Amino acid sequence: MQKNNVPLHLLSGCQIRDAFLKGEKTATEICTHFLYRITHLDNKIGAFTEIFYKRALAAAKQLDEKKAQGKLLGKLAAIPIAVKDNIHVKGEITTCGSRFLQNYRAPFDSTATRLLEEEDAILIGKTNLDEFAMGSSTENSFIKKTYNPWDIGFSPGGSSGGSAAAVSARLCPIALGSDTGGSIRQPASYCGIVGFKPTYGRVSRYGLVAFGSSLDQIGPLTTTVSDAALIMEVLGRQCEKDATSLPYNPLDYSVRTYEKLKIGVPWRLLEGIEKESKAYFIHSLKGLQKLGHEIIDVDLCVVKYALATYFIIAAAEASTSLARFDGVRYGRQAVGAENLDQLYKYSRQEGFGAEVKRRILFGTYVLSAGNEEAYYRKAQKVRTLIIDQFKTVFSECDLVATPTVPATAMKVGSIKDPLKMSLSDVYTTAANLAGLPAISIPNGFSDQGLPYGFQLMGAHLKEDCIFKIAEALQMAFPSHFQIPAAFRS
Amino acid sequence: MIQLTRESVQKLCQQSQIHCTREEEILLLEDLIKMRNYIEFLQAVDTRAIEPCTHISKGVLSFFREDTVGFVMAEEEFLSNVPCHKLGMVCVPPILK
Repeated sequence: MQKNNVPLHLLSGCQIRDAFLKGEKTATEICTHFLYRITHLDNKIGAFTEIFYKRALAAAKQLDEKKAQGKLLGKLAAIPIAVKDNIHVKGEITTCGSRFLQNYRAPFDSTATRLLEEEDAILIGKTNLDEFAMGSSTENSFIKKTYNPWDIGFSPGGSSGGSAAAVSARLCPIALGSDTGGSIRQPASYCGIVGFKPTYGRVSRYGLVAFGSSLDQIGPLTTTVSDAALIMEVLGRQCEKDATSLPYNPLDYSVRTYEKLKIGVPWRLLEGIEKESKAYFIHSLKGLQKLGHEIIDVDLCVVKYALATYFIIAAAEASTSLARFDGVRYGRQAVGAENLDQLYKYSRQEGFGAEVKRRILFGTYVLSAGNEEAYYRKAQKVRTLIIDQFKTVFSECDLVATPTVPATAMKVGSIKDPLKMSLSDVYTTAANLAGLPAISIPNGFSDQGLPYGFQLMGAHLKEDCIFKIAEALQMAFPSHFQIPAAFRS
Repeated sequence: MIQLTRESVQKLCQQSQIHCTREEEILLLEDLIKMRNYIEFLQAVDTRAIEPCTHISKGVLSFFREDTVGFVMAEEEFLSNVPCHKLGMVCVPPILK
């Protein structure tokens, strides 16, 4: 609700929609406000790869006309939403942060963006990412670097760094990201916002450029838990164009019933985290206890193998997913190739960055004859162990809590070793391997003023449990949900 | 198990259909060795009686469906992204010259 002329960018998506529905603001005013902010502020953080000036304003005008005609309006009416640039919007460029797809124009809509527009959301632009979603800092993008709105000397995280930075700086209230090993939750933690990964198969992957097909999920980055729940109501449905889409109807996550829940904490896994991060984590757990929820110790010892398992499976799947980029049907085509073999090799050499090449080669290595049994099959078996251990744990508790990442954001350019860069995903990859829903919410600030994140993982299809507790934490600790000073006005 | 050497990196490049320069091969070799060393500790996990996880949604989804024609992209839309095409056909160099 627009009270006392609070600037639009300080409102949540739900509040913006309500202001529009009540006639306090038109869709055109809302859209213009955010386009103005993006135009004047995005140069500080580089969140956007493309801004949909014409498209967004045309959609806003159409929505205003629709409202004037008294037509039924969607759940996301007038909310400006940014889209990670590996998710297709028909007619717009999808770069995937790669030179290979620099000029690729999507010939179809992803199911996710189509569903958003069907509910009258306004797509406002595409956001930067690590190339093909491979990375944890958005430094691997061919297009540009993105910076953390809390301190532009620091990374926003990745791979959905552009989406996280855009929402954190309030250039839009909601953005879509994709999460393969933590690529929504980790940047949400680094940027002090909410990031949600659904149960695998809950949201259609049709129109999401594949990286690790058994791990990828599209999800929302938002400023409030309610906004994340609202997006999930719209996106969480079966899609006939995605063979891995689960056969469940959309759910209403707005109803919050109160019951006492058991929250498991795998204390033995948390030994390497920063002292301050641990202090905030414990403080939030105590907050949950005060609300009547029970905190118990759980054994998730197999999860210490999650990152290594993820390396193998994600790389193996990436080497397959990216085999389609051959310079023939779309994307960068090398000039002067004398035969088909050269065309493939030189197009891919020119088109892919170092991290992508590294992962493709590693994937090819673990799938090679002689290695497949030792690495890939082994990783698949360890994945089964991880899934089974989570099943056991969720028979003892309703949710599992951990810090989202061991520390705050890293300085841009400070980590050159790709292996070291991936270590920030140590608590996030397990949810992808087990196909579980998980959320990161803001959880305080370091002495340097950088945000921490609190992660909740739920059992299969238990998004409602996650939203319940996450919202309780948001209400208990509103001071954790802040806006970077440089972007308040 | 295949050892990681400069020659095996060249073979991996060949299999991955990516041309790498000499300098890239050296850097890739270093990185691949680090990554291989990191994942080695998985060998200590006892997985003798464990089935590999081949489908995360096993038991929930059927992976077979009717072989029916669905969405067909219009030819102009498909060709709009093709780097080289003539008369509705995609152009590529010869396999052998």
